[in-house]
Amino acid sequence: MRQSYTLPEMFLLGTLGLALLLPLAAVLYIFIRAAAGISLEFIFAMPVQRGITGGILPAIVGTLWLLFGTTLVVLPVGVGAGIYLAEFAPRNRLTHLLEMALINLAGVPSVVFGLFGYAFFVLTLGFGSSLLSASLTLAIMTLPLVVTATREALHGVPVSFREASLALGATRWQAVSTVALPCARSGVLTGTLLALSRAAGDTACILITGAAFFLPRLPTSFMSRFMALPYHLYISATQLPGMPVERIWALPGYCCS
Amino acid sequence: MPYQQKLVTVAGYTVLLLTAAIFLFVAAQAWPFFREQVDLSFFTGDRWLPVSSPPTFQIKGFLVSSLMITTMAIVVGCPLGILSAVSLAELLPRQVSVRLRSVFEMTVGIPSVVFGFLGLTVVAPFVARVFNLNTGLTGFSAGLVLSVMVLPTLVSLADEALRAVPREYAEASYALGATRWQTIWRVIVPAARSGIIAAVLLAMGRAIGETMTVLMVAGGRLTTPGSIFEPMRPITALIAAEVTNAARHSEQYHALFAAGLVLFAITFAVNAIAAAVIVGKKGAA
Repeated sequence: MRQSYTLPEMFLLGTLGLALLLPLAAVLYIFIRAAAGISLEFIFAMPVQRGITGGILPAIVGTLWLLFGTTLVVLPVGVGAGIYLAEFAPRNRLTHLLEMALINLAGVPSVVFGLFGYAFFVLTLGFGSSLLSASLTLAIMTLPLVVTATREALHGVPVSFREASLALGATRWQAVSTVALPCARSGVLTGTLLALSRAAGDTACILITGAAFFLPRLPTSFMSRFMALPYHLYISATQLPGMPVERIWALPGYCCS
Repeated sequence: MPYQQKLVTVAGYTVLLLTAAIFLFVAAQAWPFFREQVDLSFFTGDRWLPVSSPPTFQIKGFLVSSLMITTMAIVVGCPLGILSAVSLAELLPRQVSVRLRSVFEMTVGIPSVVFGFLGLTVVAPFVARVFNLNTGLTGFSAGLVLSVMVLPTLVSLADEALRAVPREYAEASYALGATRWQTIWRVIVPAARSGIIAAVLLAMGRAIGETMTVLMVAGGRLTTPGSIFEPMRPITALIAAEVTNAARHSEQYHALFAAGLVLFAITFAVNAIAAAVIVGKKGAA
């Protein structure tokens, strides 16, 4: 069936077009401007002269380490909590409180997570400004995303699947781990990737908990300070006059991809 | 109970524990400041002077800045976002909507620092030229960038609310001879009202909490802005800019946590209202 639209309806479609165009144009513009600054040397070399020449390897590696650390923490806790909420949580006031906590945790601004991470991990626990502090902070920030994705994915698995498994003599845990969870895999994966993309792009948290601007060596352990792509972009764009323009433009290109 | 089940239970309660811990920990760091503070000048005063003696910490300017930029983002973003959601949910064929939705979801992944960078290099110079200002780094530019940033939240939630309206409502309206335009605005949108309000509130929460964009684009002047066309510093930017420079347990350190607590309280309230709007709707239906 062909759709036909009246004039005011076309106006609505126009607003949709505009809303889609703005972010897409932004991304396209960045990639075009970035093309001039990207080279193999830029990706694989150490920065020299506070990053004005040389490459951004430590920032790339730093971001990868951050993601690794974040995943290590957020995946077991987030998926575990999601399984609990979807499969085992009794319908009582405590569970209701837990759900409310989850909603509110999702709404906390990242800079408040940063404040918490700074006071708790960096200062109180004495982890210092380090990969460890930043990864833990990012893990807490992304936790609600993973929990919600896991819970929703498990809710999407029909109850009859579990009942069939129970009827065959499986325990409740076996029904969940061998039947429901594998069915929910793709949902859990999507949620985790979403969480990681947020962790990779976040700047406010790591700026408070341990990112360094210029550190021309790779992090050696989770206790080292580190460079990271988004923070590098922030500093290059705001605090460094004389930074070659095409070198800055190349950065968001990586942040986006 | 097998040990695996115990483990996931522990994981579940970790979420609860963490939320409480964040609030309590930030509050504990802010407490020494509030204990010294005898009046409300923290909220009503205009002077943030961390290095003078004695130092003064008053956050009215930052609160007003946050309010101005958030309002701007919502006023510009809402019409765009809600009308887009109506197009997606009611006008376009299903297959097209599904594709466009995934495009919106992709734009969620653009980091805020990238938006900030675009604001700094593209939007701010543009705003300076159009309005003939000395600097484009103003609340206006930041609000403009934020209005694009809140679009994915707004569109996906409003779209979801519109699609949740039972098909029968629209069919009944058509059966009475209403046009599609009438059906959309007299039946479907009013029925989805609470979901749309919740979407706006959640987008507002996002705009208030946004840090990097406003830190880079809003200009950073510390006093209360007279208009949105002046440089300003919202409360998120204040925290991000100063916390690592403040000596631990200095007055400035505690004052920044106090500001963080205020920010936490504001976003908490906005999100709680949004949740209440949704739950209230479910209760009534």
